[in-house]
Amino acid sequence: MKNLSMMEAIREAMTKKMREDPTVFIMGEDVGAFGGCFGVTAGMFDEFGAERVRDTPISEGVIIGCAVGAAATGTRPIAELMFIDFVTVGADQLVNQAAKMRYMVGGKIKLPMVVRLPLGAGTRAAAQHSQSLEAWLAHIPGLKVVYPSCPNDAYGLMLKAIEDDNPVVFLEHKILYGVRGEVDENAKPIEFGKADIKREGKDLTVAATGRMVHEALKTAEELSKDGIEIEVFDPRTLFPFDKETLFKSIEKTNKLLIVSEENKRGSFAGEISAMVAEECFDNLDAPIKRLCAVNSPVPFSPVLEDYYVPNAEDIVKAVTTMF
Amino acid sequence: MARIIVMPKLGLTMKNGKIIKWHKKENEEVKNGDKLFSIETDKLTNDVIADEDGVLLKIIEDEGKTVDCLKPVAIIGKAGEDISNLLGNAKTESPQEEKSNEKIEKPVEATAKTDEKIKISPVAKKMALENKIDYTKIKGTGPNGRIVLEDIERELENRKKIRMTPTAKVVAEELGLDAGSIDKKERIDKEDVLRLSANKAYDNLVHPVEKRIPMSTMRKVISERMTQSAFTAPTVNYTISVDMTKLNDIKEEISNDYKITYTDLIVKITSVLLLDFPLLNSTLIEDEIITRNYVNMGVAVALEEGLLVPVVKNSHIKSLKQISLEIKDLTYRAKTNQLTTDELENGTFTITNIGKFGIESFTPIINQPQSAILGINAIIDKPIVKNGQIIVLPIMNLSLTADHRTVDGAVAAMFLQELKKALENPFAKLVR
Repeated sequence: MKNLSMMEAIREAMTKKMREDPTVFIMGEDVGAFGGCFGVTAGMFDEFGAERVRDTPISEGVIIGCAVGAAATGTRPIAELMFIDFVTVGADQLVNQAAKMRYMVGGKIKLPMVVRLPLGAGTRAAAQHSQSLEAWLAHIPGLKVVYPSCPNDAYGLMLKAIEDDNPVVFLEHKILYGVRGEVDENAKPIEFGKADIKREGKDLTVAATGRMVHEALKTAEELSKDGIEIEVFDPRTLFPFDKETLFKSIEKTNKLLIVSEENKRGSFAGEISAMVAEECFDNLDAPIKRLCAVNSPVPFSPVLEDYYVPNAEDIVKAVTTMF
Repeated sequence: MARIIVMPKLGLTMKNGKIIKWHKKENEEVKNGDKLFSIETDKLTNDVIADEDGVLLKIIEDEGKTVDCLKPVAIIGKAGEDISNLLGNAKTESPQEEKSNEKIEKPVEATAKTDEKIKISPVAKKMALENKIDYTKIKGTGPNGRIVLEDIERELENRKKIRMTPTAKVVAEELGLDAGSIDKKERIDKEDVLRLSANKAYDNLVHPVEKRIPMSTMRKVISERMTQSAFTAPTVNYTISVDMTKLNDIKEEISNDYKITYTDLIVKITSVLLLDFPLLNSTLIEDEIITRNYVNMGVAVALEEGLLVPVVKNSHIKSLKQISLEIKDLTYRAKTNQLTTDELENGTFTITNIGKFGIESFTPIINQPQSAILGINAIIDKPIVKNGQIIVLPIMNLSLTADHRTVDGAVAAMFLQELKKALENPFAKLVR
């Protein structure tokens, strides 16, 4: 067991895999000598050299496109974009090439690649560097979407992402990079499609991802004082999605609140809500509620940005309307 | 040239028919001789057969509709033919259709009124239904007055609160019984629990199951007509025993030539005799008694799902062989659902034979609007005292039910006496 920050956990996992497998390599803007925009790859350049920790031009299309080619020809690339917002620039490579290629050649190639996408608001980075675009990516057949909320999950899921023979989108919330936690570096990789109940409770299920898991856990402590025990469900992977665990939780609590940092309109929160309404309707005792960011670009003003992102206080308010 | 197909009139008294099945779809080709549709009347079911080639252009009356005789039910013509003209006619000719539309609309309105929206969560609703709780009477405590799980659980909890004696409680627990299922206002005691236990054990043993079977049209008709008869006619039942020795011999003898039954023989003899007893062959309508100089003999035929009474018309003048062949034919066609309504109508008297089941006497119900019905029983060898000697003879009882409004006791008795004589010495009547 090691006490690691989430950033360190991701680095440890990548390092472990690179030591084990010479075909694993990293590429991205400033991932080399500089150690990455947020410092995730710090020190890896020294250990693995410029061949395996490669700096790229400032072109997301090139980064993802090269990863597709490298993966198709037998290596296991890990591509890092500075911000998920820039995935729009590399979207053709990711959506039309990476996601489709294995399918279109009838499975004759493998496409083992990881695209690491830092996301989320709260860093005063304004509208073009703060979005949560997971719904776009989860919408595309052919992409697996991983979204850890704590160091241990990040470690186990990164191991699995590198081992997977398909394109995996790995979402890293910037605010969570510094969050520390116990990591079992000898643990097995975490299977995709296995959710984690971060807290057990009997009165209401909160489904949350990324940073919102932490806000939900804060809320849980708060509400517990009032005698309301909420269960915090963290899917960990958006696709594949662990419906079974979510439905089991709702069978127990009969209430579902989905908390997400996305803009509410067209969000993955809506997808979760639809799944439950379609397949778990009979177990609901209250309308499903979604608590998301407001439908606006992420504001630059710190006051407005704090207002924009749901927090523990907002969750308490939302929960109390459901009883 | 397209033409309208109408609901046929299959008998003089047929007023309407229910379409129970269309054998052809709209725009399907129809050949002369194909089954078009099946209809059900108050007497029987029948198939309507196409009498020319063409295409079924339009079905005007759907399955399940009851249509007056000679009203349009469909249009047959050449493919693609313009039938708007005919359709217009069909509409104006068929006020029935509009009426039935009204009928359909009404219940919809009624349900819309009673179906007030009740706010209830899905899980609460499910639980309420599972536990047979009428949630419309529960006040919701959730947001916006919605009935939530807690409300249903509270209701269930209330149900469970039952008053019982300590001994009863112990006994119920020991037996693993839910005393909540005991319906009692006073305090439940040990006896109640033991009774519940005994009943449960008994239920487990017998698995009682009840089924509800909708009545067929035939059953409904039988039910209506028997009830009507029983409540209309003040009846008297008469029984007489007949020595069947000679009739038996005749039957044996004729059977060497062609197969004949006791029913055939009795129909023949009774038909002839009825001319001498016009009241037994009569019909009472309001304050008039209609008598006849002919006999139409109804012969009851048991079917799997009911019974039919086809009629041998003018049986008083038909030869024994004619009667025998006709009864055989009618029976066969009754059992295969091929009778026409005319063959079921205008009977003036009925004979029903249940002798083959060993019955010795019964009281048949008159087939209205007739005045009497003759039941035939089993022929059984019995010891009879004759001239001071006990001898064994084949004896058959006749069971006559007569309507006292038209047939007095003496008349019925005389008829039976004469019938007994005629059956015991049958030649005179048989050769008529």
